[in-house]
Amino acid sequence: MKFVWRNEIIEAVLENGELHLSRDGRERETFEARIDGDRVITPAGRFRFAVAPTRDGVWVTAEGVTAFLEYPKPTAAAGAANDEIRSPMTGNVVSVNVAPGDAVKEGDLLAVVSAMKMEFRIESPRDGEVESVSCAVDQLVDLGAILVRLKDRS
Amino acid sequence: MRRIGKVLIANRGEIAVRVARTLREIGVTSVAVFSEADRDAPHVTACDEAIEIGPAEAALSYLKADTILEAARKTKADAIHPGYGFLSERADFAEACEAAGIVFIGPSPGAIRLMGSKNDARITAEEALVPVVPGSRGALDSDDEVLAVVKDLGVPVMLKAAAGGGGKGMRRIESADGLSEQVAAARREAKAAFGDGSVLVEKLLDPVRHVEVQIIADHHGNVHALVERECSLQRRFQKIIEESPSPVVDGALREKLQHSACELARRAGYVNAGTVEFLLCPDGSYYFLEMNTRLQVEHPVTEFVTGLDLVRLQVEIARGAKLDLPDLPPRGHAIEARIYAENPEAGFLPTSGDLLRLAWPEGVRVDHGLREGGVVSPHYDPLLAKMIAWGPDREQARRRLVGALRDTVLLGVHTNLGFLISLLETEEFREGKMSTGALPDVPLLEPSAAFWAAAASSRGAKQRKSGASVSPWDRIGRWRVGP
Repeated sequence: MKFVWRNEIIEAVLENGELHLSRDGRERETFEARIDGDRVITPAGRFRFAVAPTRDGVWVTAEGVTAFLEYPKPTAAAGAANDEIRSPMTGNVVSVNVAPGDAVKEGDLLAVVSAMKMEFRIESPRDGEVESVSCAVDQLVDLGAILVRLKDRS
Repeated sequence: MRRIGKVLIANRGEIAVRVARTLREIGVTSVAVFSEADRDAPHVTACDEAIEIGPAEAALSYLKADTILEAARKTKADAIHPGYGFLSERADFAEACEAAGIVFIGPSPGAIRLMGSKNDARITAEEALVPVVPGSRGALDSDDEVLAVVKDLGVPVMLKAAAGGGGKGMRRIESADGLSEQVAAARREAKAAFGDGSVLVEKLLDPVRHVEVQIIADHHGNVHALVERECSLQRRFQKIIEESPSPVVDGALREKLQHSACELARRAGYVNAGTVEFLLCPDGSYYFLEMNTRLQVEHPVTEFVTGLDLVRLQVEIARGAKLDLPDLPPRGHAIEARIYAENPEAGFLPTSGDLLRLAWPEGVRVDHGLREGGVVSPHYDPLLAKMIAWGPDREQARRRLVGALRDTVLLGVHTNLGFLISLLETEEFREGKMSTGALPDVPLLEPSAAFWAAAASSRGAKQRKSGASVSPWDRIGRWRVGP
C-alpha cells in the first residue's frame, strides 16, 4: 500500500512476517514484523495498534505515533495550492485584512480566523496580488474553505 | 443543613461526566444539560436525567444563564454544579441561583466577583500580605493607556483580559515591534471571549514556574490548603502537563505557599473549592497570579496525592457541612496529561471530526467525554480528555503515564498524544526543569517499523462509517426530560 507521509510517498508491504518499506527514490528496507490480534510484533517489542481506513486515507496508531496517512492522489496543477488560501480550521472570521487588487508579500496578514476561543493569523504564503476575497467578518467558515485567492502581481 | 438530593450539572464533556460519577457515588441524582450538538454525548448518558438547552453554539446554550436556571427549575434540581469554564465564574449566575432558591455549588457571588476582577484580586492579595507581580493598577480600557503602561514597565510584559481566566485572553508581548497591533489583538481577543475588552498589564517574570494551591473552605470559617500542583508546562497559556507535588517545592516553601493561599481565601471570604495560583521564581520568591473560583481542570492530581474526592467535598460544603480534614502530606506523585484536539504537525491548529476508534489503557485514570462513533465538534473547547497516572515517586508516575499514552487508541481526529509522549520523555521534564516561558524542544516522534506494519495491515480493512450512530435504541440510556 502507498501512503503520503510528510510530503513523501511511502510504500509499505507486509507479507510472510516481513515488512518491506520503500520511500521515494530510496532503497527498499526490510524489517521483521507480524500482526497478532490487536498487537504488532517487531524485534523492538509487542505494540498495541489500531487502524481506521477512510475514503482518502487511513488513521494508524502504533508505538506512540498516531497519524492520518493519505493515499497518494494524482497531483494537481502545480502552484494551485499556493493560490487558494484556505481556512486551516472551522471557525469564525474575525478580520479580513486585504481587498481584491492589493499587492501582498509573503508573510503579510490576509485574515484572522478564530475557533475555540483562539485567534489564528492567516498569512500570505508568497508574494502576489489578491485576486478575490471569499470571506467576510463574522462569517463561519469550514475547514478547507477558500478565504482568499492570490495571483501573480500584474 | 441544605438539602441537596438532585444536582444539575451546567457543563459538558469530561468534567460533566466526572461530576456525575461522584454524584452517583454519594447517592445524589444528576441532571445533564445538552445542546443540539450533544444529544448523543457521553455526559448525557452519564447522568440520571437530561434536558436540552438549545443550539450547538455555546453562547446560545451552555452560556445561557436563564435557560440553565429554567432547566434546573423544570427538573426540580436542588443545586447546580457549574464545572469549569462556561458559567462557573459568573457572579451574576451564582446570584440568580441564590435568588431562585437553588444552591450554587461554589463560592458566594461576592467572592467570585472579587477574585474575578484581576484588579480587586490584586488589592485583596496585597491586603492579605500576599506578594503580587509588578503591573498596572486597575484595568485599562483604551489602547493608548495600555501602550503607556507597557512602555513604562518595559517589555517583556503580559496582557491579560480583565474578565478572563483559565489562560484565555492572555498575550505575551516580548518586543516593542508592532506594539499597537499586538495590543489591539489582545483587546480584541478579550472582547470576543469575555465581552469586555479591558486588560491588565503585568511585568513578565522569566524564567518562572506556575505553582498553585488548592483551597477548600467551609461556611464555618475553616480554610484548608492542600498539596500544591505544578502546571508550568503550557502552550499558548493552556496547561498541558500538571503534577502534584511540585518537584521543586520543599516542606518549608509548601507551608509558606499554603499560608499565603489561606490568608487570601480568608480575606476574600472564600467558601468551597478554589485555587490560588502563584508564580514561583528560581530564588524561591513567589507572587500571587490569580484565584480561580471553581474546580480546576487539573484537580485529579490533587485527588491522587491526598485521597480526597474534591467534588464530594464541594457538595458537602454546599450542604453546610463542617470541614474536618487532617493535615495531608503528599502521598506519592501524580501527573496529568491533557489530550487536546489539535494537530502538532500543523501548528497545533484545533481539529474536529468523527471519532472512528477509541480505546483507553489500563492502570491510569482517564477523565473524558468521548465515545467511539461520536463527533468532536468545533463549537467547544479542544480539551478531549485528561489522563492521570499515580506512582510512589515522580519517575514511576511519569513512566506509567508514558506507557498509558502509548497504549491509547484515538483515531479520526488529530490530537497531541504523540506530542505529550515526546514532552514527557524530554530530559527537562524527567529532571523537573520546567518554566512557563518556553517548552522544552519536543522532537516529533518518528514512525517505527511497527507503525508501518500496522499501516500495511490496513489493506482490505473495512472503511468505518464516519460519525454515523447505530440505531438510537442501542444506546437508549436513562429517562430524559424533553426540552
